[in-house]
Amino acid sequence: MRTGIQWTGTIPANASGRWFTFGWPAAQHVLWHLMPTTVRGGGPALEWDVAVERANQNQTTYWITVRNLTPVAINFEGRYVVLP
Amino acid sequence: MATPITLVDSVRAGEGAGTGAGAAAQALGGSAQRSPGAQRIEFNGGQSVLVDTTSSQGRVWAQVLESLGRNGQPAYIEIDPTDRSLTRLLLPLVVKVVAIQPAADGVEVELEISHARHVLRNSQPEYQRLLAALQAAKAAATWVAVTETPQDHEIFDVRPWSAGAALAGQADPAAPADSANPAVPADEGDSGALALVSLAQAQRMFDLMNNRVCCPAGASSPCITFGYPDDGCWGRAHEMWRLMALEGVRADKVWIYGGLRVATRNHPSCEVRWGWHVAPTLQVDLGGGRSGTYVIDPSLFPGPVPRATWAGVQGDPAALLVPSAGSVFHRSRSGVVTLDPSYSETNMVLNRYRNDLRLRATGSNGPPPYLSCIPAEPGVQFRGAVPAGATHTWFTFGWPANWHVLWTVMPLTTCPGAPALRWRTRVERASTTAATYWIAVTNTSSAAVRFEARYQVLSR
Repeated sequence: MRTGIQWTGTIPANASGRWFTFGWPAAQHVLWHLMPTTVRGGGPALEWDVAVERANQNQTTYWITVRNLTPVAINFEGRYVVLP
Repeated sequence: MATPITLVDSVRAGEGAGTGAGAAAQALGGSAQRSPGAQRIEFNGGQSVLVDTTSSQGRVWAQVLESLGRNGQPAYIEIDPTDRSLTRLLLPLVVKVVAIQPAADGVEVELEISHARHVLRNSQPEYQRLLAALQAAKAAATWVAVTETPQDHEIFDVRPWSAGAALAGQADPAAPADSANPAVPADEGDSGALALVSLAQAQRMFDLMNNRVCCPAGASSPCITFGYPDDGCWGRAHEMWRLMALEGVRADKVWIYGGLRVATRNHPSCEVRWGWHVAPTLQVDLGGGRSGTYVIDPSLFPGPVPRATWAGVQGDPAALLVPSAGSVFHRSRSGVVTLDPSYSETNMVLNRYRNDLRLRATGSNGPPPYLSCIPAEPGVQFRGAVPAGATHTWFTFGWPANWHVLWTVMPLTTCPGAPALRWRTRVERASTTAATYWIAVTNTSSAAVRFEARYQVLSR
């Protein structure tokens, strides 16, 4: 298993945004999750969902939609896990 | 159902979406009721047809007919005489007949230009008439419009086509013929170009081409029809040659002639048969003063391959391999060479087979790849398809509840440019020891998508 941070971003208060990351080998099992780096207690800050595009026979593009559930901007990391 | 009216004709230029309902009623003698989503298409011979654009297939039919109209290319259509609706659309080949060879159950017909193997079976009701038409066209070297079944390439309609010569060199105005499709010099396009590349550069060229793959149901310029292996290789090869030249890389080509039979997941029968094939080649520096010829052919391989490997999968050990300059657009079996310095014929070929791919993708077999052609693989629990805009749910049961299992979904239908699928996994505790997973797959695109659902057991 391999993990990493693919990108960092900021999502405005109560907003949603979408990022894409391309060139991932289609044969790999890749999972995506987010981690806020803005500290804010009292409730969840982010939720996300993942959509996938088959860009060609070898490669995949992942599209990650991030929603900020709070009234303040949130910085976050877009993290991946490549399963063995 | 009444016997359909069959027609091979060119779409009247300028006909397309937005024709008025009143005009349609007049053209149809007032006898047909036009549904709100129907689009009327007129043909040069005076016939017209209504296309139901409320269905995905109807929309593609209308788009393909408009494309044919822009190019002056004919359509084979079948019309329901009761309501003038289009019931079948195929794309005839406007070709010359090069050879007619006896086969076990009829004749095999070589058409130019086409690398598919075409057959006229003696079980065909009009076998003798069709054979005579093909023989006459061969003897007189005249153009014919040949229509065949889309999967097996069985000829069932042959008509003289006087406008055949006019089709040559006629590009689709919608295709990027000028600024978006800049020409390179026809004399190899190699001024200052790299004649010897590294394997990494060859891979980069491959990726560049591979990223041009068409979305099956939405194939449009400037995509390349790697997902339609049946025919059109010379157009694909010339477009790749042009693109590589623009990158400063000099490609040549390799032609293979023989009784070729190639396994593919992009044809419903899992293989295609060709009389010949062509692809661009690069001279690759292998180090130590050695070099090798590598073929760039995303219709067959997932990366650049040595020429011998490329030839080896085509099913004929006795096949003849002939290298040529990259600027050669077509090389006949007898060695006659034609060029296409303006890329007008290249664009026409690409456009024609994009339309074939769209028709196949929206037909009864759906888009490639075809699941029966894909072997079972570890980690893949099931494969399926989701229609455009739909959500379908699958379940898989009997999983030990103490296992940690994750699920992902991967599209098999290539369609670059936008996300196609998302999914949601839910779980049911079916017993004290077993779990059932429910995977809901949503297709966010405008065309059907095939996919595989993969699992990973993180711990047991």
